[in-house]
Amino acid sequence: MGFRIDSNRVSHERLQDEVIIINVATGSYFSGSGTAADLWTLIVAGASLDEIVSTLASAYGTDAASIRGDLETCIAKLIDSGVIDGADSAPAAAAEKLPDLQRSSWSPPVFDEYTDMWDLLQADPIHDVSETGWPYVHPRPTL
Amino acid sequence: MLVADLSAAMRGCGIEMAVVTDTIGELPRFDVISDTRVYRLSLAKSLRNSNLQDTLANIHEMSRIIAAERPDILHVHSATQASVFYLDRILRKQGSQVPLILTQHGALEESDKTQVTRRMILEARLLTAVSHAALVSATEFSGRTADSRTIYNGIAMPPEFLAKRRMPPRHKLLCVGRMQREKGFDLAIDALAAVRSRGIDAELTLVGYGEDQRRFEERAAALGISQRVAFLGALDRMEVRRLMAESSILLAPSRTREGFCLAAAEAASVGTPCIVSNVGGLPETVEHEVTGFVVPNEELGSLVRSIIQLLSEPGLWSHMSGRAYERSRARFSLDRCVDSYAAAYREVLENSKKGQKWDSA
Repeated sequence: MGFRIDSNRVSHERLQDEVIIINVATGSYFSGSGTAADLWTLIVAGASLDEIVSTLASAYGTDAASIRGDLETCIAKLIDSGVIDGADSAPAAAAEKLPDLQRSSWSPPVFDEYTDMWDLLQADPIHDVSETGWPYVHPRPTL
Repeated sequence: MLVADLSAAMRGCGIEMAVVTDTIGELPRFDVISDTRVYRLSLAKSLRNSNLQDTLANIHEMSRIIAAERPDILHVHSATQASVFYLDRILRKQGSQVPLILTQHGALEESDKTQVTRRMILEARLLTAVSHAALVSATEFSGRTADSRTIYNGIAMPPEFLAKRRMPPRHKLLCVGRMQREKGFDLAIDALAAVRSRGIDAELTLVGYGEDQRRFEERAAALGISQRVAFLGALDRMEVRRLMAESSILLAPSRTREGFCLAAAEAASVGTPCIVSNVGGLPETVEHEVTGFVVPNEELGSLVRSIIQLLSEPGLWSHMSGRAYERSRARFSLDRCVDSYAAAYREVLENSKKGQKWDSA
């Protein structure tokens, strides 16, 4: 089984070991780091579930059987959230797609979901931070 | 404003601050202003524009700044702003041994009650708010039971010569703040028209800038009082204090979100009575019928009646002026505010060193 990302609905970006995903349709933000970022990179690369399991087991120096459940749980949540869909996958050179980073021990991948980001941005009190940022002395006007 | 004042005053207590702030302007990303290091990141803009590259770069930059500054305490001012998303990401990714203090500056509205706001309120070692109303709104929303307290904003007291004791000969009303509907300055314009229609020759000055200024100007024009309403833009603090001292009444008819009315506290410090709406922490900055009037939110009739009463009764005005002056010094001095935050920092640090859970302290 592989996975498909609808590029009309989902934008995403990775920087080092952090990834951010936006479901444009719902306005939800998802963010994860470490194993979550690596999982996402492999999904984007078109890897199947089996490839993801084996690639991450190798990258994190653990055995595939012990991490498969963590990955299935996380992937199921991404599908439920509408970020990815299940699909027939083409073979991919998935292992080559992971960035060369120092990795710590395996931890279950987690994407934190921010479903009300737009509300936060609306709430951002523009009277607390001026357009020029703090601190800024306005030019002295003439009365 | 509070952070700028605190930063200078805290240095006198041996406490050094560095500031990370949002900006949508073109100012340098790094400044040293009055010996305070200021980092400016385009935090809200990158999220608003869904610019994921910049958003990720901001997370990394904020993380790098925290690592470089090695603060003993992270003090977050307001949990209803874009920066809390970034801090939330850093805390979730790395965890943090640095204790967090959150100061809530506004009373939370329904739309402010986001997941990350709740998380930040709950995860802070200490929650402070600039008014009791702001504190209650934060604790009720989050369910937080750990330590929290009100620390009123402090203001630098003006030179004594500015503090007046006599009612100004001309009836000058003043509004100070951002030109936005939330501030209710349109109500002040409507009130001025009503007051003038009763034969009282009053005028109104508005200080500040903002997105709704044109609408306010149009409102004044529609009411035929443009010549009696002055828009001065943003002024420096001494100019504002001088205007306050020359004014009969400061009006703060805000509609929403106000945690504390700095303008009302500053006006009181020069003996100018205030009329504020019954919103958020505003009733805590003005003692009703003692240092001014607290009127129901968006109730123009009450606002107009209070203005007329104050302008028509010099004895009442003088009494309120004196009480406002005294109360501002007793309750809203910068020294008191600085002492309260310095004590809070010490407590949080001591409890962190002891490894105590804050709520068991």
